[in-house]
Amino acid sequence: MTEEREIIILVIGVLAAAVAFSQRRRIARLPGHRLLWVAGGCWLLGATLTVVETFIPSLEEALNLAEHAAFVAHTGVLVAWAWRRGATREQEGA
Amino acid sequence: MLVLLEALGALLAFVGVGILLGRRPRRRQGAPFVAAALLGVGGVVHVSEALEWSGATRFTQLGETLSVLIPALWLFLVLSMVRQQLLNASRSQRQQLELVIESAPAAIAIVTRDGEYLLTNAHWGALFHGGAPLQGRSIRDLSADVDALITDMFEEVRGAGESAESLPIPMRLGERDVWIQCFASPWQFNPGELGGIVVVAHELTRQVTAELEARALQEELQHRNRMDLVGILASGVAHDMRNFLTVLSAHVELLRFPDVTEEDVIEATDAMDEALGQATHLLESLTHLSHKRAEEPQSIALADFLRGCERLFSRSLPRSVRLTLEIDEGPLPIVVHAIPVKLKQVVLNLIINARDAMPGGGTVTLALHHRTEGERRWAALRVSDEGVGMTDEVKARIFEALFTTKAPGEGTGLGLAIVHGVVTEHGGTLEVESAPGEGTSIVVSLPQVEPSEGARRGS
Repeated sequence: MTEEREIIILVIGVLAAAVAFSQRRRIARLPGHRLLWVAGGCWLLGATLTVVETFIPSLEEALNLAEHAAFVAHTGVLVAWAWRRGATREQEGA
Repeated sequence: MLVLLEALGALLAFVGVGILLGRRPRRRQGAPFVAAALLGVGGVVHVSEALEWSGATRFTQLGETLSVLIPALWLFLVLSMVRQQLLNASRSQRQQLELVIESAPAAIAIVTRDGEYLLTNAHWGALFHGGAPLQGRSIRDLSADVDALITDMFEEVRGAGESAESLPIPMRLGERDVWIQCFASPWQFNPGELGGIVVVAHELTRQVTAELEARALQEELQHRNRMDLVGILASGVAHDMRNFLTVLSAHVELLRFPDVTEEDVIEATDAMDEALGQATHLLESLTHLSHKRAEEPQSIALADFLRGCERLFSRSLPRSVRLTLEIDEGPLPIVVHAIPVKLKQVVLNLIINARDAMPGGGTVTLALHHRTEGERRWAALRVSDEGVGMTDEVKARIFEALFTTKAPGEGTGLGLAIVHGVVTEHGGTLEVESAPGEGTSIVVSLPQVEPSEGARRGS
């Protein structure tokens, strides 16, 4: 069950990345769009490491810190994007 | 270590939620809410992870369950941002279109194929609807006057699917009499499928009024010039009339003789009839020149027309000036389409100018011949004198209104300007050949038309 759930999470994540990639030109017009790509990338990295750890338990110890760090970095970068977005809106008077 | 890392993640996530929701995002913008949800869920997952790593295993299931939501929320976030981007682009395009239409110097309406207004500018509302709101109104709500112009045009474009243009038309809008010219063209989203029609209306009241006034002024000046010509011709005509009266008087005396025969009576009445006919013709020529009413253009056989001008004018020239006529028609008569009285005015003005250029006398030659230019045939009417001629500076200005080289009181400076105006009005051209001491030739070229039976003979 755990394996299946992790794979579903990763598949949805890859789907989100594919949609984002197909709309990259429109996303490129949004403020702080680079941070969004970085945040999404961090999350995908964390999810990939989780799947790897699930299927190869011997690597769990080695990858554990990196996996958690990727998810925390994802959160941090997303917060930075939220901050940047708010600042840009204020500047535009929106 | 991992507990601290996850706790930091949770802290960051909740700070992010605060930032996103604290900015009071505008309605209809989904992205900030989805991002806040994403961070909120992430925060809870981080909390559960932190608790799990600190030994509280009962929170493990919560974190793992919620973590399924995170990629789904990412998908929503991307989609809602793209939607927002599309909405912004479409709103901005409409705003740009509105700005362009609003700043256009004409009344513009974009209507559906059923005539409903999609977009209009303030000019349109002010001109045709008295500034009333146009929400939910149709192009068919226009007043009867405007309706005849615009609605007909709308139907024409809708039927033919092609652009149409009207002539300037006078109409009454509210309390104002205006001149309006309309253009309409179809617009379509898909090829072959009519989406609607763009109607552009120009108010040309000022331009048309100015043009009408200028035309009236020009007509008035031309009439005054003709009256001047009548004055010049009057002495010659009076001389001729005296001759006719002498002929009449002589024959009346003849008829009084007691032994007059029937043959004498017939001969005398024939002679009187001829003299009366010539006198009538002469007077008609003079009164024709002084008429103010508008005349329609007609086909004129130039050779006969010029002979009439010569008859009318030769008596009015001083004895020292001779008027000769040279006609080289070729096989076909030279016929032009012109307003007779204006053409006569051109010829007489040119003859007067030639006369004035020869204070010591000489010959004025009136010559007519064909001229061919490509496929077009022209009638070339040359008026030459043996006078003082002109310098290049004078030559360059002779068709300017109020320009004259004559002494004050002798010339108005309007004659040649009127010649230029009339010739241009008839689609013709003027050429001047002159040099000081070598006389002047002015060539009037008018487009020829096919000779018709009704071509006007004589003047």
